[in-house]
Amino acid sequence: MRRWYLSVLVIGVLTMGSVGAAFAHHGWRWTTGGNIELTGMITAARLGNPHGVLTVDAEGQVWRVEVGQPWRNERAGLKPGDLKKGVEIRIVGEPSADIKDKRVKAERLYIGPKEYKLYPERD
Amino acid sequence: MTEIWSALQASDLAVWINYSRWAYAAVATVHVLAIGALIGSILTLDLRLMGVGRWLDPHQLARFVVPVAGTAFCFAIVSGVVLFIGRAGEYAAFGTFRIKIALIVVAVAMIAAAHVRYGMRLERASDRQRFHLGLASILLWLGVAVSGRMIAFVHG
Repeated sequence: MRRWYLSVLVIGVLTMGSVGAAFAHHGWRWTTGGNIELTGMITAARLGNPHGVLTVDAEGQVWRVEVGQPWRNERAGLKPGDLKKGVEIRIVGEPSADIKDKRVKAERLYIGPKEYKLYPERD
Repeated sequence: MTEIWSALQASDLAVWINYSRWAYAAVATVHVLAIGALIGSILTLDLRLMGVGRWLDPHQLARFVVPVAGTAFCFAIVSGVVLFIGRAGEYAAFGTFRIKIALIVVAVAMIAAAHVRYGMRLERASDRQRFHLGLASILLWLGVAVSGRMIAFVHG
């Protein structure tokens, strides 16, 4: 009997361990905590749930820019079609703590002179 | 295949799930709850197959647990299909997603094969064979849950 409780416990702990180790996606846990600024051209945009992703060419460096879910982008004032291929964009946001990973989570976007605050509560 | 995924992603259902706020949240929540109910219920039957709780009548347990697990499975499949349709092409290309689907297929095929071979109540299976079926089932369903959860973290 005791053996079974133990094996179930082990399976559970391993499962949670592997999930914990990979926690690097939603939220801000995977970012550095400081902001960077990035300017470039959108080469691909995939919007929609669970959140949008832009591919941005910033002077030859390809970045993956995570933007908001549809409601967040809309709240920021973005219209459908604002984020699309060929658009020049400036991004302020937190980069991935892993510097090899060219990924940034946008807090604010700038298209031309216009500012779009995805996370108004964040600096 | 690629054309099928593109067609799915262009469907009204895909657009709805991709751009709604609460429908997406609701479907994702149903998916999680259904998986919880499925694994929670099937785990009890698997443990009994493995020989835990011998004081419990296995047939009565199965009569109670299998419909719960079956219903949960249906909810998980329907909500899962809706979530999949929104990003069909992407998900279909993800290794973690493919592993998850493969594990579901193996798990369901194993249930079918076990009943064909050992009878509807597994009455022709030895204790040892029941033990292995229970263990395989636990590992497969946990594998489904883990590989499913990893989709968001490996490919996010």
